[in-house]
Amino acid sequence: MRRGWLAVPAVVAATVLAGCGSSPGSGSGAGGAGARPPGGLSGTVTVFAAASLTESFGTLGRQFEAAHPGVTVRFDFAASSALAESIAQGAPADVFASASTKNMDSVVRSGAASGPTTFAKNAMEIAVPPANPGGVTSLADLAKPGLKIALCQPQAPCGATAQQVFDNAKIAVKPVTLGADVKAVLAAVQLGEVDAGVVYRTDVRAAGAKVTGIGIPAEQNASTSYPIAALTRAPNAAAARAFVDYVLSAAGTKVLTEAGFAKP
Amino acid sequence: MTAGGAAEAALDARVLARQGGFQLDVALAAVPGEVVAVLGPNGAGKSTLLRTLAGLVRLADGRIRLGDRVLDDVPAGVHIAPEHRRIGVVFQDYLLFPHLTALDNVAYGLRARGLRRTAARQSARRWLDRVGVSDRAGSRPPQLSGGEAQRVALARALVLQPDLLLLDEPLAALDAGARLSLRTDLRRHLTSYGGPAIVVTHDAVEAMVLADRLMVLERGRIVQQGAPAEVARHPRTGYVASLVGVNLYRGIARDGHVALDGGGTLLAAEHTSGPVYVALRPSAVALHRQPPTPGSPRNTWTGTISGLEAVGDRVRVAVTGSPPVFADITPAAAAELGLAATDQVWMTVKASELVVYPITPDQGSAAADQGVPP
Amino acid sequence: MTGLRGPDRLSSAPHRTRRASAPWPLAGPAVLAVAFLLLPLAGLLVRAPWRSLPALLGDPLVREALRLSLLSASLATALAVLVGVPLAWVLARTRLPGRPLLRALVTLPLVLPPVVGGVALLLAFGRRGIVGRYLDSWFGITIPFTTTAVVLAETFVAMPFLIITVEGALRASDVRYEEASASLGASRWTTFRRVTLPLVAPSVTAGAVLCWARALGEFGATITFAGNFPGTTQTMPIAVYIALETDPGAAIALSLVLLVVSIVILTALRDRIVRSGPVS
Repeated sequence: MRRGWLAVPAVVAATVLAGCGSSPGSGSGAGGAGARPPGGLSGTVTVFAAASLTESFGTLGRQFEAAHPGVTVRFDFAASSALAESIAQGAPADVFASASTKNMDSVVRSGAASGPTTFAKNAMEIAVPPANPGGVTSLADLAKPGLKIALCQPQAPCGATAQQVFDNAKIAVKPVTLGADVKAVLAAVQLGEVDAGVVYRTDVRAAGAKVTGIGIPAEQNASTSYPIAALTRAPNAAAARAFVDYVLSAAGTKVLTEAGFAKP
Repeated sequence: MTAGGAAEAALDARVLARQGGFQLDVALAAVPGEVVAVLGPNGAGKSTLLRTLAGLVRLADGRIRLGDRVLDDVPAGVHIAPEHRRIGVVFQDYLLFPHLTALDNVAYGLRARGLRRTAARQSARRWLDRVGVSDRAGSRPPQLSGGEAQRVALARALVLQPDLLLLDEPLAALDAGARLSLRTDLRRHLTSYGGPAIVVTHDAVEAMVLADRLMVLERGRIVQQGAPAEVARHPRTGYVASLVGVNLYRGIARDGHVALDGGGTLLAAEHTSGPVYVALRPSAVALHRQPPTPGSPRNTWTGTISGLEAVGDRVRVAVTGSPPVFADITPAAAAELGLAATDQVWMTVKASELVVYPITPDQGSAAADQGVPP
Repeated sequence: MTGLRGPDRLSSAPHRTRRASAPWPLAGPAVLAVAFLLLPLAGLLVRAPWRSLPALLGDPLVREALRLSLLSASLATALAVLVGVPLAWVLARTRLPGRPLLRALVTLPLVLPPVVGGVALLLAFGRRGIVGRYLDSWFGITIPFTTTAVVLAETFVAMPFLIITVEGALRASDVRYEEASASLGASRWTTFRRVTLPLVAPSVTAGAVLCWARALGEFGATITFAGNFPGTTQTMPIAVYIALETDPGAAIALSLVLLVVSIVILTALRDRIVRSGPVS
C-alpha cells in the first residue's frame, strides 16, 4: 500500500517531465524516423511565422521535412507583433519570420536574433465576400459610411500597412472590428459578416473562391517586407539555419512567388 | 353566531382516489356550521381525503360539490384548481411562509385577491387579535412557538371567509400542554365559523372534543360514523374500540345470550337477538385468584394472564380465554393479588355492564376484530 | 419548519462545535490548491508596473474597456436572470417530456470551447445566420460587432451557471408552500412571485454572481462573435490580450484592474456565493 502511494506522484512527475517542451537537441518524441540519417539534421525545428505565411510556409515545411527525414517542422502562425512578444518572453523558437521589419528589429534589439534577411514582400488587397453585399468596387468605397469593414489591429504589420494605404489614398476608414491577425480578418470576410477586409494579396490568393479580391492601385498600395532569421537561443540551431537557408533558396522563392509574394 | 361573510354552502363529496396501494372510497357530507372529524390510524387515507377536497390531489372518480358550485366532477371532466375553490386549509405543519411576518402571512390571501396592502393588513391584524397573537404580528414563523404558529395558520385561513374549512391534524405538532389549551380555543373558533369544517386527526380525544359528527376511516373506507358519544358507546371496529379503550366482541345474540364469534358466551341484560357487537369496559371486569363463589354477576369465566401494563393510574391485565379480555384494576389490587403472567385467573362481569348493539349490515364490512389490540 | 419546536424558543441558540484541525491527508492537498491559486496572482502583483500604473489607469482606452466590461457583464447577468430563472423553473417543476434533453442543452455552453460558442453564435445570428439573415433583411438589424453581440456572447457562456444553481434550489425547496399559497387563493403566477422566488432568492443571487463573474472574464466567444473595437466591443479581457503583444506592462496593469474590481464585487457578495438553497 505504501509503495502504491509513492507510485502516484512518480507517475505524475514522469508525465509532467515527458510533456515538457522541446528538450534541446534530441527529439521529444514528436514524429521523425528512428534512424539518424548521415550528415544529419534531426529533431524538431519550431518556426514562428506571420499569419500571412500560413499556406506558403506550410508547403515549405513539408518540402523541408521530405528533404530532411528525421526533422519535424512545427509552426506557430500568429500576428508578427504577438510572436515578437512571445520571443521576448523567452518562448523556445528556432526561427522567426516576420511580416514587418519593425517586429524583427525589436527582436534583434533584444538580442534574440541577428542578421535577418528579407525574403519576400507583400502588398495589400481588398477582400470581399463572393456575393459582395456591400457593393465594394474600389478602395475609396471603404470610406463609405454604413459599410462594415474589418481591419487588422494597428499593432500587427497588416494593420500598420493597411493604414499606410489609407494614408496614401487620403481616406479615413472606420472598421467595425480589429482582428488579432490577418487570418481573423479573412475569416470575418469569408463568413460574410463584414462587407470587406484589407488583407495581404497572398491571403486573397490562398482563400481561393471563398473571397473575391479587389486590387489596390499601385500608387496607393503599400507593402511590407518579410525578414527571416534563425534565433540566437534556438534549441535546434543547426536545423534552424538549414530551414532559413531553404526559405531563401530558389525552391523556397518559387513557393513564395506562387503564393503571390513579391520578390524582396 | 357565524363569522359573517362565509357562504352558507353544504359540502357533498363522493371521493374515489388511489392512495399508494389502496383505494380511498368515501362519501362525505357536511352542512354549514357542522364540524366533522375524520378519525383514523396513520395510513388510513385521511390526508389524501383532505387533499382531494382541497383540490391538491385528483380524483379517480366521484364528485365534490360545495353549495351550488361543483369543484370536482370526474365523469363530466370538471376540476377546479385549488386557488379557485374558496376553501381554507390549516396544514399539519402550518406551512407559514418563512420569509413573511405573521401579519403578512395572514394578509397573504387577501392581497392575492387584490386587496391593497394597508387594508389587507388591517383585516389581518383583526384576526391575529381574535386568535390572541396580535403581539407577535411582526415576528417571522421561525420565531413563533408551536401554539402561536398554529393560531396564525388558523387566522390565515379564516381571514378569507372560506366556504369550507379543512384542518389536517391541527394540534398534532404541539406538545401536550399547548394542545390542551389550544383545543379549547380551536373549538371556539370552529363554533363561530359559519361554513362546514372537516378536521382530520388520529387523536380520539381531539376528535371527540372538536366534532359534531365523527367519521372513522380505516384503509380508505368509512367504517363507522355518528355523534362522538354514540361512536364511543357503540364502537364497531377494533380500532375504534382500542381508541375508546373497551373490549369489543362480535357474536349472535339469542334472547340475551350472546354466542361470541371467537368462542365463549356472555349474558347481557338486554334481550336483543341477531348479530350483535358487545362492548365491555375493562374497568367493569373483576379478577379473582380463585374460582369465585356464586354471586350476582351473571358472567364468569376463566383464563390465563398474558400480560400486565400500567395505563394511567390503573393496571391493565390482558387475559387469554374464551373470550379474551382486558381488565383494569388498581395497582394496589394487582400487588395484593400478586398477579403475574401465566397465572390463572377468574373474571366476573355483571350482565348490566355489557353494552350490546346490533351489527348493521353495511357497517360490518370493515375489519371488526374481537378484543382490544395491545 | 414552524410549529415543531413547541413553546420553548431556546432552540435557536447556536451549538458549540469542536474546531477540528484538518487531518493531514486533507491539509496537504488543500495547501497545494491554495498555492496553485495564489501564485499566479502573486506573480501579477510582483511584476506589476506600479510606477506607471496611474498613467495607465488614466488612459481613456483602459477606462472604456473597463466600463464596457462592467456594463456588458451586468446586462448579460440581467438577461440571464430574466430568461434563465423561468427555464430553471420549467426544469425543476414541470414534467415536460424533453427535460433531460433540455438539461443537456443548458449545460452545453459549459463544455463547449468559448470560441466554438462564438462561431455558433455567428452561424445563428450573423448576417448569414439562420436567424440573423432575417433580422438583417427584414429589420436591417445586424448583431455581430456590436455591444449587443458582447452581451449575447457573455449571456451564452454564463447563463448555465445561473440556471443550474437556481434549478438545484427549486428542486430542494418545499412544494408544500406553493400548495399552501394555492389554498389561499393565489394564482400560479402570484405563487411564483411571492412564495417560490423569495424562498430561492439566495440561490438566484448566488447564481447571478457566478454568472456575472463568468461573463466578466469571457474572451473567446466575445472576440469571435462581437469582434474587437475599442469602446464598442473591446472588453477588458480582449484589451489585455491585445496589449500583451505590444506592452506587457500595460497588459499586467489591465489585468490588475480587472482583478481588483472582481475581488471587490465578489467579496461584497461572498456570503451569497456559499450559502444557497431556501431560506432556513
